[in-house]
Amino acid sequence: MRVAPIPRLIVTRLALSVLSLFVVSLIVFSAVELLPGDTAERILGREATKESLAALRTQLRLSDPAPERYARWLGGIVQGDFGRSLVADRPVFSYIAGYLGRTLLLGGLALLIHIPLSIGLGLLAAARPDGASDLALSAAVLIGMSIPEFVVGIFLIMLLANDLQLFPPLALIDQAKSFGDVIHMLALPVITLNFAMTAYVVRQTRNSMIEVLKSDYVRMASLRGLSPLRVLFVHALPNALSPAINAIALNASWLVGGIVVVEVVFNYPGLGRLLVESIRFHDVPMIQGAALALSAAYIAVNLVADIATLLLNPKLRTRTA
Amino acid sequence: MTAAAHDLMTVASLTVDYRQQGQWHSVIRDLSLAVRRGEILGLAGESGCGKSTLASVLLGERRGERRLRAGSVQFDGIDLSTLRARELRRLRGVRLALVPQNGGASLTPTLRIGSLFAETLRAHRPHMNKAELAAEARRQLSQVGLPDPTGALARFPHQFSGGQQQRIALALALCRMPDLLILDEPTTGQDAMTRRGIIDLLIRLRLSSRMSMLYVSHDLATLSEICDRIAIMHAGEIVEIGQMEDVLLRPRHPYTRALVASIPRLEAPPDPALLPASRRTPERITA
Amino acid sequence: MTDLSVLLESRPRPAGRRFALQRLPVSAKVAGLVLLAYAAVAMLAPAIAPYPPNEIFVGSPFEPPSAAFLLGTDSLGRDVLSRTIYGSRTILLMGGAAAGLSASIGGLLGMFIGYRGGVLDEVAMRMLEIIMSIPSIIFALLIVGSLGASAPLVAVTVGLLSVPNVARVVRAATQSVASEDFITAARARGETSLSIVLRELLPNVTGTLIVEFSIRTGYSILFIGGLGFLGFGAQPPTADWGLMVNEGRGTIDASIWPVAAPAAGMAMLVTAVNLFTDGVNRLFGPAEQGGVR
Ligand SMILES: Nc1ncnc2c1ncn2[C@@H]1O[C@H](COP(=O)(O)OP(=O)(O)OP(=O)(O)O)[C@@H](O)[C@H]1O
Ligand SMILES: [Mg+2]
Repeated sequence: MRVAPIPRLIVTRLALSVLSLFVVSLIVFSAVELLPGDTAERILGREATKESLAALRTQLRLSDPAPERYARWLGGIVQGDFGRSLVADRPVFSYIAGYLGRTLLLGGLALLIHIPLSIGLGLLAAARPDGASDLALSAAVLIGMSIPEFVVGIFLIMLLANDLQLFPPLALIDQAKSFGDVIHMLALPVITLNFAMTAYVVRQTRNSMIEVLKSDYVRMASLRGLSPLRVLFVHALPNALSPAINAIALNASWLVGGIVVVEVVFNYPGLGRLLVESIRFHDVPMIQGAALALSAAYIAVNLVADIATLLLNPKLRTRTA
Repeated sequence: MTAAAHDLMTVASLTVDYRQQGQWHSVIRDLSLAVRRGEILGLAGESGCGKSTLASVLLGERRGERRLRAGSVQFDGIDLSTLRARELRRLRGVRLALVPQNGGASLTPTLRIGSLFAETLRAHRPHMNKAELAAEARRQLSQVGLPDPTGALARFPHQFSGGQQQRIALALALCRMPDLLILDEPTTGQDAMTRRGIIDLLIRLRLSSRMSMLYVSHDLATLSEICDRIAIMHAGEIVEIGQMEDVLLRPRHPYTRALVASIPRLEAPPDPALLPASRRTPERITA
Repeated sequence: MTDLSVLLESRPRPAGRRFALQRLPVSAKVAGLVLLAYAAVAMLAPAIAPYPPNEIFVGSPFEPPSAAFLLGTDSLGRDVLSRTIYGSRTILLMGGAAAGLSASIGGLLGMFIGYRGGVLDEVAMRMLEIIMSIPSIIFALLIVGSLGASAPLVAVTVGLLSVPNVARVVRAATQSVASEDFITAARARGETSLSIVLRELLPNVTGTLIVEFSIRTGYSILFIGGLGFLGFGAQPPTADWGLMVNEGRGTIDASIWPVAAPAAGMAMLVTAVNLFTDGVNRLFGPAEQGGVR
């Protein structure tokens, strides 16, 4: 009974994640099957002769039944072989890695700002629990929820990049020469992403902190003579955090979707934009690779968020299930 | 002996208000009371009369929705309301401790029992090492009759029963051996054997260390076993205070008389026929 | 079951439901009026739009707002006001269709698995969980990208993607009703599952369905707007707000109006939907429903 069954819970979630990935791969594979034409036509283009098409089809074994081709494709992916890009004529894998890295950089940076910023603001707001801040927060949540991120991004570009010239309008990160450049370029996309995420977490943190500060255990902690800092950070904060973590987890998974649009707005060479572009060019292996990688990132983010929630809640942590 | 010398805690003409919907309401009115050194003073009164409020005011707790409108609270000659937060903190836990009414809710859910003890012990004695902290915590936990004290240190509050949580709260309050221990209904939720154990422990402690106690309860039977004196509280005021026997045998105030009359004379198991229908053995309902 | 009176029991009709709209918070009422105004503009678009939305060079490109072009013109000299007015049609139709689709399919599915329970429920829930663990935007991009973007396809895709979310909520609401006496009574009367779901359960989860429909409307509008912006929604020359923002953003230095007008229309619409959602949620949300019943 004393052994926390947490590893088992984590294994269950992990298994579910793998299953989800598997389903994603099925969907990705079947979706591109719906594209007009077949791979041979896409590779050789319009001018291809019948003979060369037939030859390539046999070579690629395109006449095999779909399940067989799926199995072969999945087998390749497991070994890191995502095929060759039709447009760039290079292995997809080498592309994906760089684009994934840049997407993670943008997303990670956005979260890095988001977590302390929103929790900090929430704590500040909890220090003054009056009606006015509540109303302001609710309004901010509503606005953050209601304005699409591409609108926010474009207006930020107009205001901060074009008028005030504070930041570059496009995040052409390949041209960055120093870490400072990177930060400077990513500022606007990061602000855009935070625009939608912040207010909700601030409100959750504030409300739960106000509740927790009134709780018996926080009162007793200071009545036992503990220092105010200890009461705040050891007794109150961890218990107030769980709704905030849930909200952040929701935001993190929203982020994976929101980032697609934001990458396009700022011409940022990440996975989202890569996916959008490859769909436009019908670059099947690239579509498959980018969609899989992005989905994997999403599933991983959810997994991490689940586990974080689990670890922070001792009731779940010690549940004998 | 002057009054100050043999009184450890003196409450003089205390009036306490709570704010509700922007209005201040008095909950304690012009209340005076003294806890003498080495005594166990009982405090009885109906639910909602202000006992828990008084208990937390005695620890100098300051809260936004509450104010001390008049009077003073002095602990060992020190006026608590004039103390600075830091000085107040040095009293709490060390010389002045509270066992709260709702023991379970007073334990931080995210911390293991071991950490709760460690931080409480360390707050005023920073130099204890891990082994000493654990040993002391184990000693306190076995003193209040908690089974498997060693294992308990690694567990979280929610893994204990309500009665066990209450005893952990008691052990936490005891671990610095305070001069004044305020107990707010410490035996609610305990079975008869455990209650006996707790009461014996408190009596032993009083004998061995001359710890003073203010024992809050509405159970006169328990109070009569353990207290030297008893104060009866009613609607925010002390209506009667005196030696245990005097108050119980010759109650003067009408409220005290009603209270004494309601002590159950013997603890016979209730007649099943008198139980509400829901608690009787269900008869099989046939279709 | 000896008591026959239970068989006669009919489903409860919570008092005050009929006057629900009057009990909405003021903010939600205002939002409701704004939504009505949007609907009116969308319906009357041909009557109120000063120009045909897709006619090019009704003015010269990038004209600033004037009496002739209240919101100026875009890069092709089209009237921004007319396009924005027609754009409300596109988004309301697509968003409404998507939300209606997810609420009806998700609602039926949720009621059905919530009512039947057992293995069916277990399996269905796991499947819904897996579908929800895949990012919708990727799903939508793949489907719309493969089949070719068009307004109906986008609406259907976005609607289907929200089915699991609705189904989960409705299932929970159904489970809390399914054990009540009037359901037992209906079953004892020998009603079929389908009839119980439609005649006994549906009236009792209407509140939940309204809330879900409202939530999904706001979500779908944002989603469809985003797809339109990415070029995977309605196709040119349709007057679609997401598309208009995308078309205008490259020339924002020349004129801000082609971007600002659809953006503002979108922001105000979603704000109104969300305020309205908040209001109906307070009326019919899980907490309140428990209280009414
Ligand atoms: N935070 C608060 N705000 C407003 N009123 C309060 C607050 N806390 C307590 N009160 C009021 O003060 C009165 C005394 O409460 P208190 O908790 O001191 O009663 P008690 O004697 O301990 O009762 P019990 O035996 O039920 O524990 C009650 O009427 C209660 O409603
Ligand atoms: Mg009390």
